[in-house]
Amino acid sequence: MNNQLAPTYQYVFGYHFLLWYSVSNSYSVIDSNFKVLLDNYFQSNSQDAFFDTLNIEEIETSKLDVIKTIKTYLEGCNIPNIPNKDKVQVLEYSNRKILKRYAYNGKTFQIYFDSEFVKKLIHPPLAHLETRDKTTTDLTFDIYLEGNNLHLFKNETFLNSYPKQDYHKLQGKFMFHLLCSIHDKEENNWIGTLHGSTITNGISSILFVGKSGKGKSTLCTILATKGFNLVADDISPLASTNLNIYSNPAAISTKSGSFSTLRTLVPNFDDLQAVEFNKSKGLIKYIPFKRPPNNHYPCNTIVLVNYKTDSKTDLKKISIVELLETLIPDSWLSPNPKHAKEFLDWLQTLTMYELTYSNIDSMTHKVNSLFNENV
Amino acid sequence: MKNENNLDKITRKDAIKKMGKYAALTAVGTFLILNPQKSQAQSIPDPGGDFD
Repeated sequence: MNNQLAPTYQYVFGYHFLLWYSVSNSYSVIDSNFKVLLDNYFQSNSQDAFFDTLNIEEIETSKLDVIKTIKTYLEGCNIPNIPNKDKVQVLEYSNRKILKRYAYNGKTFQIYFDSEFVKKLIHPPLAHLETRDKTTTDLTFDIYLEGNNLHLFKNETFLNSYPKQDYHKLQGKFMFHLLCSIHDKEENNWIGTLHGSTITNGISSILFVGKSGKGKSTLCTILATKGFNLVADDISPLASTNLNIYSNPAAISTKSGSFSTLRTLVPNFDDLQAVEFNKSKGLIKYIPFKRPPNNHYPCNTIVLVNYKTDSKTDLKKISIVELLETLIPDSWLSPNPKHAKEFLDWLQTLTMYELTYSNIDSMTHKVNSLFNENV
Repeated sequence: MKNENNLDKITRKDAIKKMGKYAALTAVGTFLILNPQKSQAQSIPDPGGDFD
């Protein structure tokens, strides 16, 4: 029944099944009981035939409730994923009031801003890349505020508009296009931009994920001062075909709560300018690190970061559910079936952990041992 | 379906525990639906804040 609602891809992860629905670009994790019901539902030609497959005593519910649950579930998995279409804007050259030029990976790019206010959204994490070289320009962005909307242009072509309060989407879209350019890739060459920070030992990489405030950026700053290289902070781009994570040139963004810890580790920490993004957020410092030796690294380990005051360092394996409920809602994943399959295949190669820590040396030792396990 | 025969058996209680806080618990099993962002975005350091 209703086979048009069936998932496009189905994978097994330990005790769970991970399903992907192309119409909605949704990922769904289900247990084996539900999987059996779902399979029987799709394989049955009629409702009565499906009811015959049910052992009601075993599942302690009515047949109609079972079918209602399955239908509700499938509706939730099949809500069409319709991309937002913005009204195309024409570039207003009079908004080119501030110009900043940057260089990274042999590419030079420049950004025009209309105000200090808009510059503050984009410039601070890139300030360390600023260049005075004016000989070539590979890429030009224009970013300005008009009414309540922030507009983004790339090489004088309109990309997107965002309400002012959605400035984080503008930051993400800008960074995505910058990543395409500096790594010579098209938009459809990426599986996704994963919400997490990536560190390398020069051979492979580990992606650290976690909700805001769980200590990802602090942990990566610490590791970058302990001999590892930062690959990406906050947005870790995962490429199609080679399934590597590519370098993101932005500096690590750290909040005031971590300043006392980082002051002892980061050379000249007090000389870094603190940016007040808004009054409620407090101060943010952007800590630049040198580029990793390579532009991209394979990643077969994901660590869910859990900073906990006075905790003992603990590294434990976690299930796909614990990882995905943190990773997926905050990441952009391409809705292209080819990319979804690559993402699912990549997930199958991963080892997933949760790292609880408060002690820096003990945490660094654990991460070091994780890299060594990969060798 | 990959490796279907390798599915380890656990109790329903264990499965629910492992499914985490977003799981929908029903009498017929547990499920969880996750939707990625529709567009690339940077994380918000302090949700709800404006930038001025």
